[in-house]
Formats: sequence, C-alpha cells, structure tokens
Amino acid sequence: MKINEKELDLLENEISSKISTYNESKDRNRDNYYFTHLNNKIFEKIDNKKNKSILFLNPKLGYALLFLISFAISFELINFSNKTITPNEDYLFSETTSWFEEKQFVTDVDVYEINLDYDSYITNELNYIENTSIIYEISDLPENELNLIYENIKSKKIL
Amino acid sequence: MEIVDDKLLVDKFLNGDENAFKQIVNRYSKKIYWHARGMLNNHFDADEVTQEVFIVLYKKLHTFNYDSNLYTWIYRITSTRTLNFIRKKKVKEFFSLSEANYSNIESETDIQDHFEKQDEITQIENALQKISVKQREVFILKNFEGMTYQEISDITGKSIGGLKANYFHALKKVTELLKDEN
Repeated sequence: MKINEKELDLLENEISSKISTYNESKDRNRDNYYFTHLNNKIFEKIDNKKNKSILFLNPKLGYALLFLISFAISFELINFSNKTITPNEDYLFSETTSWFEEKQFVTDVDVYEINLDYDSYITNELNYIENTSIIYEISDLPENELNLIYENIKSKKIL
Repeated sequence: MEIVDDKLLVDKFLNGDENAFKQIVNRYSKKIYWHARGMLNNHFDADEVTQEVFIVLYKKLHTFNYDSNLYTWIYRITSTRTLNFIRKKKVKEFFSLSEANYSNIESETDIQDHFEKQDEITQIENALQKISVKQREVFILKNFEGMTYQEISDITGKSIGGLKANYFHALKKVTELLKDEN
C-alpha cells in the first residue's frame, strides 16, 4: 500500500496539539509520588519472591510432583509385568482355588507346553514300556497302529 | 550515553548489585506505565502490567545478550505483557467478569485526575480504544514515545512497511474520531 506522505503530514499536524497536551500530562511533577510508590511496590514484590521459601512451590510444579509421586506409588503397588489372568473357564479351578495355585498351574502349563515334544515323549514311553515289560508286543506293532495309539493318547490329553 | 549506562547497570546487576536494578526501575517505570496506560486505557491495569514487566525483567535479565538496547528489550516485554493482558481481559469480559468494578475506584485514585486539560486527554484515550490493538501500539510508540519505525520494528518484530500502513490507518481514524468528539 502506498502511503500519501502529504496526507500523513496533514493528519499529524491536525492532532499535534492534542498529542503535545497528552505528552505534557505525562511529565507532571505531582505524579512523582505515585511513581515512587509504584517502584517501591515493585521492589517489595521482588523481595517477597526472593525470600519465598522453597517450600512454597509453584502450583504447576506442585501438581506435577504430586502426579509423579502418585504414579510411582501405584507402579510399586501394581506390578504391570504380571500377565492378566482372564476369568477362570477351566473346570480344574473352583471358586475356592487360591490365586496363587491358579497362577502356579498356569505357569507350569505354559512351561510344559513350550517344551512339548511328542516324538521324544513316545520314544521315552516305548523305552519305559519295553523296560518294564508291560506290553512286549508294542515294539513290534506296525507304524499305522502305533500312530493310532499315539493319537489316542494325544486326544485324551494325557501328554 | 544512556545506552552505555544501561549496559553498565545490567553488568552491575548481573554481578550482584541490586541497586543497579533499582536504577533501571526508576529509569523506566514511568515510560512503561504510560505505554501500558495508552494501550489499556486504565490506571489500575497499567499499574499491574508495569509491576509484572519489572518482575519478568528481574528474572530474565541474565538472558539479555546485548544484541539490542535495554529499552528496546524492556519495551518488547511490555508489549507482550500488554497484549496478553488485553487477551485475558477479553476472556474475563466474555465470562461476565465486568470491568464496571473499576469505575468507582478509578475516580478516587487515578493519577490523571484534576488535569488542566482533562477532556482532551480523555478524548485521545477513548479514541485509541476504538482502533485495533496493532494500530494502537504503533500510534503510541510513534507519537507518545517518539520512536522511529526501525525502533518500533525491533520491539514488535513487524516489518517497517507494515508498521507504516498501520500507523497511517491509526492516524486517520484517531483524527476522525477526535473531530467527531469536537
């Protein structure tokens, strides 16, 4: 935007007397008392802030600390690394089963399942049977029959 | 000369001389008050803003890097504080925290009472309230503080071209408003 300098000068001249009056009013001696009082108020406020104990925390800082402390306490009380136990749907557990027993069982099952090895299990079983001579003929069984036995054992969740 | 003095005062203050800060306050409080008063049109608000400015200055003076003059820096703080104050006030007014409460005490303690040319001063102050904040600020800094566009630009961070346009519009409106009053 192009500003008309002449118009600007004219406008400034028009109100120059009022501007001068306003500016003169700012330098009255009678206002010195007020400004001395104002300056003292400033010094007083600064002194108060300096002398303020560290215990008088900034409210924002206070709330932040409160949040951190409550978070730390709740973190200690609740071990977030624990697995969530879903409602018990397993008939093995009754309402009276203690939480500790339930947890122990679940942990054991987990560990067991991780190491589950049906082939080794069958081999061990066969070795055991052979050694104990319960069924002598089992080692002579054809493969399809052996598989059938294995499937039966598996389906009955004996493993 | 004054600029050197200001820097010396800052140095002294940063070296632990509290009296140096008092000298800075004594030197600038009047200017800050009148700037804030022009912007806010209220003695009590100007009083509050002036106190705030110096408390901020006390806390932040160690960050002053001598890139600009101290008075430019102080005016920058004042400008920011004043604009924030206006925003807060508008929010308060929106929630009906009326400023009508001021009117009673204003007549008792305002330093502008019993002026010889009270009407003219009130006219200017009222006219300033009818222009935008940006225009008001540049008008005050130019006419009441006698600053150059460069100095105003350093304080407000606005371009000189933009400031000139703002000033022209402000001047035009204020002149019209003062004519209407008469």
